[in-house]
Amino acid sequence: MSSRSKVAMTPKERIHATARGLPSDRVPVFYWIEAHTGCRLMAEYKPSGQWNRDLAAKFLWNRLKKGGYMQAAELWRFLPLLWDIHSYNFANAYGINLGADMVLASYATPNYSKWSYKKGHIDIIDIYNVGRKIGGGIYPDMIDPPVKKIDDLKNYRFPDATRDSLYDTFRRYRKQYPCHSIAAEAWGPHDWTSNQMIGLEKYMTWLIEYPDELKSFMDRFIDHEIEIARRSIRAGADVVFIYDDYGYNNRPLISMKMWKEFMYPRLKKQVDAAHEDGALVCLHSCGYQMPFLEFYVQMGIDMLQSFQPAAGNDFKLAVDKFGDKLCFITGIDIQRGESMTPEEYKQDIIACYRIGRAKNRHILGTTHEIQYTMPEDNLRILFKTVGEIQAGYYD
Amino acid sequence: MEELKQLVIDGKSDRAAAMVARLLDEGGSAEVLMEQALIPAMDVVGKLFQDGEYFLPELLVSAKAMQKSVEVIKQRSTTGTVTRSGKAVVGTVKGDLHDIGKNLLIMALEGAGFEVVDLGSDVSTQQFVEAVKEHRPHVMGMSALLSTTMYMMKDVIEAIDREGLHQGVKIMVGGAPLNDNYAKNIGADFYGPDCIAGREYARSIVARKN
Repeated sequence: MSSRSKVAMTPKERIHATARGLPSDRVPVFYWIEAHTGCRLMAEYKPSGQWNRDLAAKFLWNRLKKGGYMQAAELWRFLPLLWDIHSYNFANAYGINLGADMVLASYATPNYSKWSYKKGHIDIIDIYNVGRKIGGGIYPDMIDPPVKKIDDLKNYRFPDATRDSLYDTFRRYRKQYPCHSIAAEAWGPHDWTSNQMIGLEKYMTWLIEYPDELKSFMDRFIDHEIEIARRSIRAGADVVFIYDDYGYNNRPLISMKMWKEFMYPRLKKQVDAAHEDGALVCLHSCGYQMPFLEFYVQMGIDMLQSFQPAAGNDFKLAVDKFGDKLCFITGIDIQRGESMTPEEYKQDIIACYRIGRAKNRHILGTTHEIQYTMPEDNLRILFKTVGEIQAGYYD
Repeated sequence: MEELKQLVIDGKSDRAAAMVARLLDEGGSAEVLMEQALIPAMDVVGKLFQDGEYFLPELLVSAKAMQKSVEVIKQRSTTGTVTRSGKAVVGTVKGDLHDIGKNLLIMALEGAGFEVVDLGSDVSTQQFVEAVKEHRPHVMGMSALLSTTMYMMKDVIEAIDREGLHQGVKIMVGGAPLNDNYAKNIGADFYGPDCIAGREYARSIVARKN
């Protein structure tokens, strides 16, 4: 059983102590909140305390609701996102109002170079020249990748990441939240290159057909990401939060042999660079993670976020084997939580907390972005239960 | 035949397509190539995938080799088609632009000799209904990656039921946030944890109908 520090800690101290396996005064919390959910929570659960934000949230949420969720007019689905990317990720920052110890933000917000509204959909082109569309959904999904042919891998030029103003988010947050952890988004070798820049199917075949060309492209991409992480740290971030989804349900996306060849050395380079600059590293990786854990430990990753049970991950087993070397940010199951009863949801969160508590390295966090489709009673029990855990009810 | 089969298993698209062209030139039958080399090759690939020896990259390069080979057969046939074992309509539901799951299912079904009508992604309830009316498939597959879009599957199944079409078509669903329970609750006939499971279900439906 872990020990608890009797000295009250700041949220940042709590995150850093827990990531390093040192005693903390309570379990740290991380909420990952999607923009539409942010509007909903401010409108119906707990105002942010900033009247203009609360008013905007209420207006946007009511319009989205009125539109009938998925059938809502395109514009009403787009506006919360637009607001999020123009307001330094308001939804994640709002997590602090709910008791989170760490806030997640990205460089270059807003990160699109142009957008247009056409009847039926909204098109965006981002600074990476990725064409995106918001269809009937809530995410700006890639529809037109900039890398189409194998030659494009060599010719593609990444956007200039050296402009100081691109990192204003972190300066602003450091000033606004001096005692909290600020996590800067970055991307690992696989996710952005495959899903955004090339397209997953083409990328997967290129792993076999054009391995050297793909590796060179990944190397350039990782250097670009290291530059972003370094500048984010200088601007105030203390955690580098690397997105790279390596699994899906019950299995890795690619073989471990291929992962070790393509991903491991590049991810390790990112981890080493962040550590050199004094930041912690959190890897966000969706899907099945069990076979990767020993390698995450080996390369020195501090925290692993998500660890979704529905993807086949066994939290108890993972904590037993790696809980003294790797900090897990997990335990609030968004995917399965939507279909649980409030009582089941509460018990599930408490059970995960107790598993994580066996070792010091556990941050109670959401396994996905909290979605606006979560039943109201489940949302309420989620925050109530986490509040009770923070208050020590289940120690 | 064994050599062609191995080329597809190894994902050697160009060499597989060239060999199909050569075998057809030498008087080989398209049906024999399909039945004795291409479909069995994809069965082996499916088995390797399910056994955890193949992953998405290997599955995709094999599917590409199969597709290229089938293209050659189509070009050389007098009708521009190949004989198909069954028919499927497949799409990603409204609000969801992710198509990898849907495309994998299509590749798996085509690899098993199915004719597949690809409705694309962000497909409305009405489009699914119209496609079932028009194509009268053995199976209809729906995919969703997001927990916020998987709810659309229920709408589609209800619409298929309302139109009285469900008796003639089996509905299978798949995607990361789904599970067997959810599929049952919304009235789907089958939940496929991966594309190979979907293919085997579709095959079983066609076998039952024949």
